[in-house]
Amino acid sequence: MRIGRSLKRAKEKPTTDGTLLCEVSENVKRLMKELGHSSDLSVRMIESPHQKSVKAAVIHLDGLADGNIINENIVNPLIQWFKENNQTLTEMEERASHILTVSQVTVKESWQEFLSAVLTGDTVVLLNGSTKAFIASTKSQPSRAITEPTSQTVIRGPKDSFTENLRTNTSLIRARIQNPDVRLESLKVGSVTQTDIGIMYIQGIADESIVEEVKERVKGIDIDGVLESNYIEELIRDDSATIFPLLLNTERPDAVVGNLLEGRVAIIIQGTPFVLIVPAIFSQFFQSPEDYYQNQYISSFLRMLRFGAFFLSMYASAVYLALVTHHQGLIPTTLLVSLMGQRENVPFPAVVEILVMEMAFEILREAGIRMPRAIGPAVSIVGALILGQAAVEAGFVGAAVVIIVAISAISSFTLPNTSLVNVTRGIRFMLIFISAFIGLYGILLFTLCIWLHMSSLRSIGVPYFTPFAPFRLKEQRGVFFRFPLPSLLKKSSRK
Amino acid sequence: MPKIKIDGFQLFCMMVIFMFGSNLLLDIGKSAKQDVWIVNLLSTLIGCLLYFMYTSLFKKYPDLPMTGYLRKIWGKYIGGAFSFCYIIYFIYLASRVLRDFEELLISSTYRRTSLITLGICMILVLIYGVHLGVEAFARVACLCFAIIIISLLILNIMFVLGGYTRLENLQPVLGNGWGLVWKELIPTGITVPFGELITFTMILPYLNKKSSAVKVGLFAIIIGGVSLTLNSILLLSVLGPEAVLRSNFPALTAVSYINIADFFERLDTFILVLMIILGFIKISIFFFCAIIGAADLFQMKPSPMFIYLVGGVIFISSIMIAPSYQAHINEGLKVVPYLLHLPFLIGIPILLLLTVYIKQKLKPAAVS
Repeated sequence: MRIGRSLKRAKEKPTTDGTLLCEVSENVKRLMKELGHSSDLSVRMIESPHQKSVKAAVIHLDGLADGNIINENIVNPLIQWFKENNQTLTEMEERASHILTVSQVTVKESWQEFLSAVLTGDTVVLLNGSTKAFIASTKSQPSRAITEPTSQTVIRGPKDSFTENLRTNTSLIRARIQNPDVRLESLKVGSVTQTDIGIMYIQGIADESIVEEVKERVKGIDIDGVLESNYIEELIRDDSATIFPLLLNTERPDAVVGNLLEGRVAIIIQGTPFVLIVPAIFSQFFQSPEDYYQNQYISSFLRMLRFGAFFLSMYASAVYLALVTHHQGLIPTTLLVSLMGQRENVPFPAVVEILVMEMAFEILREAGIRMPRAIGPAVSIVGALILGQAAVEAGFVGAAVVIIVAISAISSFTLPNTSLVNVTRGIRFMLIFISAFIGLYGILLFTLCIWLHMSSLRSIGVPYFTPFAPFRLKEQRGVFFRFPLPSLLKKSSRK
Repeated sequence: MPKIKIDGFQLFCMMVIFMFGSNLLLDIGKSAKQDVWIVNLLSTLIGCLLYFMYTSLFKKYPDLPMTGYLRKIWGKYIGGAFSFCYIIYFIYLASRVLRDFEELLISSTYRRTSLITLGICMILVLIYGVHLGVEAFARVACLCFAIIIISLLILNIMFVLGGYTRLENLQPVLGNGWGLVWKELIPTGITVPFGELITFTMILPYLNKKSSAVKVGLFAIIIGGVSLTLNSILLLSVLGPEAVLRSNFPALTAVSYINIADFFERLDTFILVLMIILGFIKISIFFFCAIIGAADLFQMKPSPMFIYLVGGVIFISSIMIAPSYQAHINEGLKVVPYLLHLPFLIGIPILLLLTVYIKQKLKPAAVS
């Protein structure tokens, strides 16, 4: 609904270029007309007590600009100034920027720039008889307070997370790297929304060609509006037909800083707390910033655990299905007897059992995200009771299936990044179907397909599946182990 | 010509897996009884020589696949006709290997599944792999290489530590004399898998460092040949020559012996997994060669339609190639080596090399 629908009206309208007129009231009238007499447009006319023709208009959009600054540093000085002096126009033009006591005043003459200044929350002072617009920066966009991250939590480590405000986000990053080499380049994307986008990197560490490529791709985006970082992600990634996340997203400032230090580029988007990091490789999705905040051995163990859990979450149900339906001979006899004993009362084939349970879990999960907070406990109790004990006792599913589905579900939550959790969900279902069809052989062939697919992927030109494919044994150690900081530092200084 | 590049290590992995391909499974040369390993060792040596021959042709035309320089050397029509034969030959080999693996699956776990179902699943993955191109495939080959090496190591350690090996099975060395060894060596021993390395003449133009082709290739052949030799020694010592001869898939039989602490048992699935990976890589390489060759011969880009078509042909011929497994194996051991392998893998390359030398000799003479 919100994407791709081009705003016809905007395109048919006469272009808004041209310069400002001399007459203040004319300019105000034109502005009113172009904004369709919006009720949040505030225009304050200040007239000189000495001379009727000397007047100024203070224009801002209510809510986007800081009212206090406008009152004390723009309106007040202007009134005082008009009261005290009786000056000619040229003097006024020269002096105006000294009168406005705000941090930044720019002088512009084009209508377009005047308009965009008003729309971004700056306050514009227009003088009667002058074609210059004095733009005082008074941006104060509404934003919520910095809170703890909600999707990427840690036990030990910084507890702040990004907000929807671009400036807050860049300041969170800047506060962590006080270095002159940090670069922030701003772009506007979205032909209608004109969303601010910041591209951040560290000069000298980041690969120039990648920075250029990112800028090029972001500039090339042609879309009406950008509401979340996924809009950018989908439009700049290399391959659109994939289930894998080709760009890393994070809401943790420390993760962004860590990646900037490793030479990657961050794309910060106004309006969303999720910052994109490019280029991303597959193994990065298994790393949590916390790996570096705690004991190296524990971290290494946890990293490998996450890989194990990732595979378990994709393969557990499919392999169970393959064993039960196609390869009973592979199950040790005692286990087989007990499994078959459970399955005796179940009226459905194993694949239906698994699918019912997996779907039930997916429904519970989706319900858990969408439902109002207050009903939360009710759903979880009902879910746990019905899907666990009751389903088994009623003879819908075997107890083993409940265990398998629970394992595959819980394992997926060990992954630090939700994009990867979604990958496991997708692949899990595909594997279940294939496994039901042709057993382990199918699972293996599908695995080969996934490998082939992943090997063909690239993230901003970097092979996605490195260091596994292309195979680089030395780099692989860093994927599974977290090395002690001294050795990591030595390596980077040697480079 | 090609923009896609593979590096030396990827080539190495592909070659070693390719050599493991059918051999690990079928244990070629098994009628030499306890001297299989001698056959393997000797054929490795001959394999090196063959590879020298292939690369000396490649060095003359480093940017062309074999079908390309065939036409350069023998002219548009004769060379073209032979290129076409090579493409058909590669397709035929792909379908033969595909049949091998279908039969393996049926004889092990999928007793009640039809050849067609198993074949379709495999060929779909193959088509997808070929569709993605050599680069992605080469990367996956490295991954597969790591998995295969690690699993083989574990399996072999289990054989040895589990006490399943009896070295007296290897004795007497050369008990039947050299006769059997020679019979096995020529032609099967040298053609499969070492002669089949001719497929890499189609892939070598993709190499990023052309100069490393010989070094990497020889290294791969030696590593591959030695591991095959070790493997056949191990299989022999576990099963004994008679059992190896009788079994259709000796590796599978040997692995099913393993039972350590009543926990590590039924590892035949494990070896089946390895076999599927090996087969996948081997068939893919033949498939790639057919596609590269056809693209080169007909001067077109490998379109998806064409890949589906060749995939379909491979699949259908894998079903129709033989009425039964016995017929398939007989054909593979008695007919194919003499009628196809010897001329295509050794005859034509030798003739090509001779033509090149004669041309070189003649040319300066004509100028002066």
